[in-house]
Amino acid sequence: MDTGIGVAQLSWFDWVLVALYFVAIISIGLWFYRRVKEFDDFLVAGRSLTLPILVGTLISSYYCGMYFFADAGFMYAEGIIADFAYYPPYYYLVFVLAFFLVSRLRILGEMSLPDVLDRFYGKLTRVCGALGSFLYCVPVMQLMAIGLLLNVLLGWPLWLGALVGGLLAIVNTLLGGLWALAFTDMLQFTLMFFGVTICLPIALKAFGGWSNVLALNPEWHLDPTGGYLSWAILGVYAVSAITILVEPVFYQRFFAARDHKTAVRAFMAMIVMWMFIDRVIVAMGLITWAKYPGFMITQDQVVFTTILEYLPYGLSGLFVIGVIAAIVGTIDAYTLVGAANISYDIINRVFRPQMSEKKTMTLTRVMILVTFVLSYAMMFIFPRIMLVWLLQSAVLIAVAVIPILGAFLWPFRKSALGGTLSATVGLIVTLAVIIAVFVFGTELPGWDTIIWEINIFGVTIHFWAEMVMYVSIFASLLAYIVGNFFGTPLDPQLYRERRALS
Amino acid sequence: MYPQVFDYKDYFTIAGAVFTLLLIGFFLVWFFWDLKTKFNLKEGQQGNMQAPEEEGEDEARWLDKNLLILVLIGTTLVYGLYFVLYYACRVFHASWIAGLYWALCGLFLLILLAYICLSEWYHEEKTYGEVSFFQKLTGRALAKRSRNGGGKGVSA
Repeated sequence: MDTGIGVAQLSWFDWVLVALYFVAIISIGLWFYRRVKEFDDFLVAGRSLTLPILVGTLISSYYCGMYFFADAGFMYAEGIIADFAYYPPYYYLVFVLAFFLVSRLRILGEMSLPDVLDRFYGKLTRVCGALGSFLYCVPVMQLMAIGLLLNVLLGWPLWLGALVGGLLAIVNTLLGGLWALAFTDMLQFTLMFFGVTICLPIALKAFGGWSNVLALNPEWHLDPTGGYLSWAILGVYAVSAITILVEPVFYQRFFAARDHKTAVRAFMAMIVMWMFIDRVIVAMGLITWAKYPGFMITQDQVVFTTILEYLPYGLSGLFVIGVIAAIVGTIDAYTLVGAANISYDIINRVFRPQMSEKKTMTLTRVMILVTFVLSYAMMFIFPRIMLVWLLQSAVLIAVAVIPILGAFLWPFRKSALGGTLSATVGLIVTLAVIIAVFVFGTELPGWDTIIWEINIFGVTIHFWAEMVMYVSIFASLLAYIVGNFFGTPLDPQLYRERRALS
Repeated sequence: MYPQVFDYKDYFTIAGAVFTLLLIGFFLVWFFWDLKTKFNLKEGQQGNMQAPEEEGEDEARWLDKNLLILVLIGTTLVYGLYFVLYYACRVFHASWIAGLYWALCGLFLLILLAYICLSEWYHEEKTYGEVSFFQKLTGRALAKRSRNGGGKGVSA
């Protein structure tokens, strides 16, 4: 077994802090295990979360540890243009989500994304939505991240790091549900951002200031219009951000707020925090380039390594906890939502409506374990993080984006068939295209993607794996239009409810 | 070893990092305050935390237009920052423009955050009849001031 950089750069005191962190989150889980008695408490924290807890849990559950690996590496590799390509679509789509979608849905009293689909399109769309949401929430990417982190720190093989880290992560959820998650998320949010933010001035001091850092970066790295990203790829990033509109973890947090006004404000406070923290990561990307210009070491690990180099003992322990916290926060959040997609959204609401709350809660706990086992197995089938993310995002976009947006924005005749057809056709077409790209495409060395060359009447089209999302959206929209045209119009009551909230 | 050439860019960055740390600390303190005052965790979590049934007319007011406009302007300003920094500093060598813009961005985000917090505290006091974090800190109730015209512009 190799020795990780953590062995060389972390002191015993840092490791004690890491151990204390795990003791703390398991203790919180145990504390809530004895107090959470109802399913409403377990899944949406009794719909009573206040603004600061919401801000903490929103940020912590969405910022995966990959933020410190892939995102930070992206800023390092591409420079400032990467920030333009990556973050703004997310910001603006969160505005759409918070102000125009979930705010109204929260007033209607829903608990999950499939609940919303059921309200507008019926049970079959609920099942499709629940399956799509489940596939999206299976935390394969996050397990890879914790495996990668423990590999970097301790030199453990990926399978061992993912197993140990993943099991420690789900214990908290298993015991206390969203209550335990929300409280530990607050701890994680603090540690995660404290570590990375405090590192920035220390690293700047080490380099003697921005003037030196900027002089060591190439001009294209600093030009907001520069870099080699094409507009097609920028478009793909923008399309992939659409998953935000149907992000199951956001829906769950929104429905767990004490009311919709508090939830909207929490989302906006989250955006303000993002604006500060994302700039810190961009700055760290530029500083890292100054230290390791021209891809001297692995892109995914370079920023993390740089941060560890600059932080003193004790603070580096806090930063490591922060990164572990970021990954743990997403593993447990997505595992809970994925498990509830099966236990509550499908089994309880479709097949066993008379099932008691206690049994639903027990079933959800069982499904948390099943989701973890499935994620762990999938980690070996899909060994590359980007492709897992691609598959999951495309599936979620295909089943949920058009029906949800259509429910509020489609001005013409609407039917249950429209929503059902959109979700099912979108899902089937997306899976088919992904399989085709995997089978017929070839890997592009250094780009971590697959390109499928399609020849149509002598014209060669280069279809990037990322472009699956364009197909998902198009197929789903087309099926929605056709289904609405041929299906029975929706209950006028739904229109009245919608109008009342418009 | 690099020569130490700290200038306004570094001081702004350090100020930004310190402010971010303060922001994290602020949310943490507010979280503990809520934990102490709004959650009766020994007897179950919800109970007194449930939102009261809102009036139909109030439900219809789901959109806080002021907040929406503020966040849209805030985000656009922050992303304009890169262009202003690049063209002011590296193309036109007028770094004072970049410094001014940078300060304005930070100030605007601060105003945005203040609006969010004040709205929420007013909402807590008015809708739930709770003692808000603001009231704890200043000894004054926002909702009462609003009835006298002091809280104009803050949405409940």
